[in-house]
Amino acid sequence: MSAAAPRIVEVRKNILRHNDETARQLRARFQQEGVFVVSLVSSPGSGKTALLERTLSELGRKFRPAALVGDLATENDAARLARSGAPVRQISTGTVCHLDATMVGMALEGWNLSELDLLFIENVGNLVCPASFDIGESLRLVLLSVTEGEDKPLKYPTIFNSADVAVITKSDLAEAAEFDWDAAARHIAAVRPGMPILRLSSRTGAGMDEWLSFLEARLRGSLQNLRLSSQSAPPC
Amino acid sequence: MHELSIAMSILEIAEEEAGKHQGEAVAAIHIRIGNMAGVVPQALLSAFELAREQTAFERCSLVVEEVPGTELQLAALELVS
Repeated sequence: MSAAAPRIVEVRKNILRHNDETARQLRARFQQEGVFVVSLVSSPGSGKTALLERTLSELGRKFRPAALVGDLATENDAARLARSGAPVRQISTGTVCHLDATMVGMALEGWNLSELDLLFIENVGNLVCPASFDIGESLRLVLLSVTEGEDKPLKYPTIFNSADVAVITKSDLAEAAEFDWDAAARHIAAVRPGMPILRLSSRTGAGMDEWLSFLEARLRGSLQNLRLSSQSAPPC
Repeated sequence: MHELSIAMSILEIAEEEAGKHQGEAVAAIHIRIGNMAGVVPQALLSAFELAREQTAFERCSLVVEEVPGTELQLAALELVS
């Protein structure tokens, strides 16, 4: 008996459609509730939590920020961030190397988003996996610390390419690490031309003002867009 | 590691699509992976072998076409009757 020749049936479906759809719903919900959502990705130890700690404390005077933090295990980061007084939740991913839209949605259960202005989502420290998953954020930051070397963007182009802003952290250690700022900027631009680059030190506070003004401008811009789009909505 | 969740998404879509073609078995699943999609083909192939165990796709193979960009698409199913 000879086997019949196989036939090919076209499918053409996005493999991450479930995640993308969930992320789209989250984004719509964030917009509706007026929350500006910023996610942070980087390798472990680049200073995501330190930057958030300082950011939450400073922003808390003017805005109502909150944070979700993803890690494989422990609630250490949430405990650190909670000291700022902002609402914080930990997402323990178990063995999963990234956050996805469903995890974010589940972590938000019971939270009244309309009481917030800004939500930060700290992804699992990983420069590979988080790149593929949209989690409904409006702004994705990629952090690079001066101790990691200026060629990180070339080594991990996918994640740098998926981000909107690059933040170079631990600038107070730049001299000791012989960090080459120009090379770093060149490498970032090679991977994602035109991406804004900020430099700061969460320890000394250098560059924090620029970062906070940048964030505030983006936040106000997004709120304004929201108002414009609701004004121009056609009558139903 | 995220390749495993991607392999499972592939099987989920394949199962749904295969349901439209009763009486035929899926011999292969063809996918397209962009070089900027953040998915390593070799890792995905290993993850797929793991994910297909004890499913209707146990004998189904995964055929990867590498393309430029961020695409991650289940392109086609290869069916045999």
